[in-house]
Amino acid sequence: MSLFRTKQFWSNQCSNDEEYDQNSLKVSRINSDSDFVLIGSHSGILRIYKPTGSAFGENAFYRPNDLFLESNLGDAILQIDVGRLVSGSQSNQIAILYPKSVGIYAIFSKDGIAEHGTQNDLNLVYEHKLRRNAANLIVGSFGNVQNRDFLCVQSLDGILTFFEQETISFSCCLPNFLLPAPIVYMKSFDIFVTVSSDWVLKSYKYKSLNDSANSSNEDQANNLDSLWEYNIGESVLDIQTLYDDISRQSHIAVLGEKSLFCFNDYRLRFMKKFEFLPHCFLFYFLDDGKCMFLVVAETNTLLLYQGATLKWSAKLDFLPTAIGRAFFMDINGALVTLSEDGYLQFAYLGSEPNVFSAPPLKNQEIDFDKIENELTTLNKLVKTYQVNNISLTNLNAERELAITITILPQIEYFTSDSQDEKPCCKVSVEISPNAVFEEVHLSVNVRKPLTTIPSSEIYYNLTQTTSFNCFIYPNDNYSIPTLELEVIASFITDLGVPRVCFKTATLPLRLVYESCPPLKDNKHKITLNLNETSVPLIELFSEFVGVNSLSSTSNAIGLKYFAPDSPPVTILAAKSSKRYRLQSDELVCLNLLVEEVIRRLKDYYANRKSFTITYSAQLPIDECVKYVKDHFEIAQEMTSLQDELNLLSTQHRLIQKRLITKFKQKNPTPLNHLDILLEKTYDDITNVLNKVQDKRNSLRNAQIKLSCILNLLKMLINLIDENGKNMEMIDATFLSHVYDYEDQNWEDTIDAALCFLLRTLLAKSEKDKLRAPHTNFEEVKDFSKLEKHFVQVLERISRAIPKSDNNDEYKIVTEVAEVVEEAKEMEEEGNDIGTEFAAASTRALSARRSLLKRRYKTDV
Amino acid sequence: MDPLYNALSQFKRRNYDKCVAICTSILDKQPLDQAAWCLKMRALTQRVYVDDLETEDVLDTDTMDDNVVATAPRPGTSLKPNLTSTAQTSLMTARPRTSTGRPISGVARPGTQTRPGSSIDRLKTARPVTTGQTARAIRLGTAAMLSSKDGPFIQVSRLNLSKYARNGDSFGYRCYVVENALELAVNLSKPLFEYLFYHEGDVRNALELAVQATQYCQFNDWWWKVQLAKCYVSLNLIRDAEQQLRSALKQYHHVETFVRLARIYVRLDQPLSAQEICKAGLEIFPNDVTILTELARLHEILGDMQNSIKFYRSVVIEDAMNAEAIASIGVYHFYNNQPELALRYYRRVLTMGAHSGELYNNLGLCCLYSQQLDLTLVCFQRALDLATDPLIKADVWYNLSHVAIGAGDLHLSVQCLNLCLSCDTTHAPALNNLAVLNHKLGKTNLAKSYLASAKRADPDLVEAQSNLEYLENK
Repeated sequence: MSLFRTKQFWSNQCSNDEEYDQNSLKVSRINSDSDFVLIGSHSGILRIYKPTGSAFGENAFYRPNDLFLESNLGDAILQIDVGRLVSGSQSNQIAILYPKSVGIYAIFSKDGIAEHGTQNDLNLVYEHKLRRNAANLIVGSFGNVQNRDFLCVQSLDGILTFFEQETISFSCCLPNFLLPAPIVYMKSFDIFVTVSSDWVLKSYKYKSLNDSANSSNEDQANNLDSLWEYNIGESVLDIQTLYDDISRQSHIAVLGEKSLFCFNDYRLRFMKKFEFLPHCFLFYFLDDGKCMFLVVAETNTLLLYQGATLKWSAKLDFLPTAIGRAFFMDINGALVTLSEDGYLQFAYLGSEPNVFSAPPLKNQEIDFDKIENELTTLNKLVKTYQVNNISLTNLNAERELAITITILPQIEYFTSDSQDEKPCCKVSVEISPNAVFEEVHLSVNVRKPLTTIPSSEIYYNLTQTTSFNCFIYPNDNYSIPTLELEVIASFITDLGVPRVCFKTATLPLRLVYESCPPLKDNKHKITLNLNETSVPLIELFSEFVGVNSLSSTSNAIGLKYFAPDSPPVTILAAKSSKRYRLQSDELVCLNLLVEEVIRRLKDYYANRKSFTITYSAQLPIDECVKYVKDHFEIAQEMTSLQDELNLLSTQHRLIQKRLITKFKQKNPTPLNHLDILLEKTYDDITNVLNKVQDKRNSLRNAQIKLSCILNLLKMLINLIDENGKNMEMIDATFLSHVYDYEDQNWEDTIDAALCFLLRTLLAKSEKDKLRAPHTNFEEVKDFSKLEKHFVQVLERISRAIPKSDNNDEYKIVTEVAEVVEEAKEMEEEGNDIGTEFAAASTRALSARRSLLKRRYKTDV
Repeated sequence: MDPLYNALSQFKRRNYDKCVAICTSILDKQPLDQAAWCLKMRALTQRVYVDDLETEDVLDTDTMDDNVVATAPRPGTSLKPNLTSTAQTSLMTARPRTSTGRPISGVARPGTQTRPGSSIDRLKTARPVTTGQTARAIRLGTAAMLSSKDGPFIQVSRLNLSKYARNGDSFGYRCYVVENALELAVNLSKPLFEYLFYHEGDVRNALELAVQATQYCQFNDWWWKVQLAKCYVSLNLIRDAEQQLRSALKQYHHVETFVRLARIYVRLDQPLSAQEICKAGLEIFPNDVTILTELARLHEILGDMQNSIKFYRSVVIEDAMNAEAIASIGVYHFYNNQPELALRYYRRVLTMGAHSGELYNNLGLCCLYSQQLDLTLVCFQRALDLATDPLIKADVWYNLSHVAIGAGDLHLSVQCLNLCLSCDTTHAPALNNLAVLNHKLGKTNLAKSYLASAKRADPDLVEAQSNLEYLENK
């Protein structure tokens, strides 16, 4: 990020497909009074530039004249340097490092008549062949020789070879070498500074290098001692040294991968941690002795530091791989930057702002009337969105994906390894897509205790009709809430819109029930009244014909869940009185058959609109409450078990923490039996977990039973309430799905729902309605309150519905019959017959009396 | 040209992929070329390297954390939010806070911008906290992609770490092509450590290497101590890390070491010690931007805004391009009721080339409060265009609702808030404001339910609580 950008005054794209790196650029005066820029590519082409035009004004661009010299040297140029490298000559020569040799060249010019007629050429003065592949090159007056420069080549495997101009001087080996690192020569101390591969800055005296080369003993050669070391702890990109003539100090600047270090006579002057990745840098002094750093960041930014303080930052046009500073005819300290692919640019900092212009927004002229109309339509859409959305998408969904469910009528039997033979039923679901779907997830759901295998399948890129087969079998539990089968297909359309499709079907009754001899008397009875003649049982339950002497004349059929100890259900059909009676010892068993009888009757009389089934007796409130109570108690036990588990696990964690602190201590202390405590707690946790598991099973059973009861209640209420008003709310209350969540049991929700019903729909008086709505869901702790609400709701439901006379009559009959039966049972039990009988008969009498009273009232 | 030279040149130019490719071809020919092996390791490391000093996660308090010194620290000595809030000056209370209870900072750094309840960002960084196998700093995904090409480059389980650490004797290591012992004496341990730590994310093995290396160099190399501390921090052994860093500082002064030690004290909830460390660092490296920034951040999370801004100002004097400092000063002015000044700082950040939804959002807010209404909507529109993160989008819509309230258009405001909630369903202040607006429109029950959900989204939101009480008591 920067406020400014550099101002380019000269640029040239050197070549098209050549490569340059940090060592490819050298700025030097050679033998003139202004700087030359020397560039050598990895393809072996040397170019020397010297801009001739003015930096300002019209000539400020590249002209062919600016290219002082261009020469193809044939081999890859690794590095260029300039020095007085020819003995006896005071002028500077160019040293060029190739992978296998180093060449010294002199420039000579042949003057022409005009400026552009001048011919410049390179003249190879001498060449040293290298035995090892070269890495980099140092030119300097090693050993403080006067008026001449020596050469040093570092090879890729860490051997320094020194050349005293034309002659080979010596070779020595750097200790602990792995990869070639930047190396520089410092004239003031006559030392070489480099970085070893364990990221320590090291300096070696020229003399000690010489000694190690000359020593015959190999060990001594390896133990080259460094004069000074500094552990900088990161790998180094570049090292540069400068000698300050004014303060007579030498400075070493090291550019690491993360930070910049500056040393002043072997002492760290400062370090700076960068927040960016540096690419290359340049270290120089201003005339007044300030030391400046030019650092190129990877974000194409040039940062100028004076010491550690940022002085300027400017955006560059490209990411340079090498940077230099040149003095030309009329511009001092121009920035010379070279990119990886050979784009050479001369620039100055300038104060040209880095204008960042955000892309324009697509803002058209606004037609206010049009926009307002759009807004109103959109507002309307927003309002109706939620209502329409679901039905709309589902309509489309069914059009796009057709589902057909086929339930095979025959019941198969299979044995699983652990259990007895079980009936099972094969269901195949066929899905035929009308478009391409990316993903279709099909699942078949049945309510427990029925089980389906497999229950779901995922199809990818569905294009053709596919069928999915699964088997459904019942479990041991004899109470079955419903035989309904639900198929859900959720899919993503090719437009990326998620959709869901539902389809339901009913499983055959024979899957769960088998026929058995009918029983005469049972504890629970439910009587259904029709307004048409009753249908013979043989027609209603045609699938059971022939088994257990069910024939066209029989008016009773016994059905029984296939498990051995399940109570049978008997269905009695009264031939004359248009009634059906279902009876069983367990109320939960009745649920499914009541539903089934109603369904079958409705199917039978499907074309008669006036056909109704009614139920007029008292709802089995006490029984229902019993099941609710069962469920409640188990749920409470479950909660208390969970609390215990919570407590135990906290305790376990605490003990663990104690132990950890004990183990962490330097001086071991006795464990104080914490280990025993830990083990004990662990055992307790396991025990409680086992209990939780058991309890969960019984909770599941209780849930199933409860949902049976709720389903039954719902059906009966439906039958009582003929005209069906208010049914929606009551249905919603007695939803037959029972869920117990972690922090909310079924009781909590049903209590809230019941309270709501009591205050709104079933309110006794206007006063009830005015009371504050019961909105919060509190945990039910006191069962009697719930029981009260439950009973109240059921009573008010049955009371709220007007009854006709003959229904009442029937009720008396059943009631009386029940009382009498009860009495009889007790008689049989034989305990205290007299008192019991008396109580029963008084009850019967009072029932009759109240009935008479009621009838009298209705008559009046 | 020698392929190794080419690889080295590519490495220097940061063309790591090319460097890796060349090194691989060298290693195919000469499986035992240590130099190429080391260079490839370095290139792979550099490819995935992130400055782990900047990306350190602020961890939630752990129940098993036994490093905490005091459970009930004195006010002003802890970073825990409940305690510092009482020490706040009244001016600063208007500044919104993050989920950890710290004041919102001017710059988005890890742990400074998360809002409570937004489980989305917890999902984003759903990394296991307790396992030592993953370095927290590693960029997810990249490491796996790199090494899966033809088997892992180095099979960490086969490394003989003790031999590497010795750095001089004969040792054996396995290369991915030929599993063969190399009998060479080369200094590989430091690059190998970085490779293990950054590229493989294998903290446990890196730690083992560091332990042996520091033993081998007779505890004379500060670098290994800092690396050990890094490993200890990611293994949550804070006290051990502290020890290592202190010992490293005795040997050698490095900016990073000071900052790391200060971070340790932040982890230990001892901000005052952290400040001490930073100040000691400043004496050695006067005006160092990194340490100054750290100090400013420390003051900021302690709620001491004046001092924080003082340090940020010194950062700006030293480094005028430091966006974090400029933005933080801008935020300070904004919450100090000087939106015009804040606007100037943000404009500076904008001219520096930052171009993000957050910045335009802040510019829009400054414009709104300094009455430059003509620019407000344009800024917010840009912010909406640029914001990709739903949380930022939610914030922009929330701010736009304030513009609408300022213009007196309640319905527009309600719509803005609804849009805000559609981006982030747990935006508690939006729920609260929606409640207030609905109450104004006469829908008291709706208001109540909005307040209830606001309270659920952020239980600490004072406004929702008091509004709810007000409505209940009416």
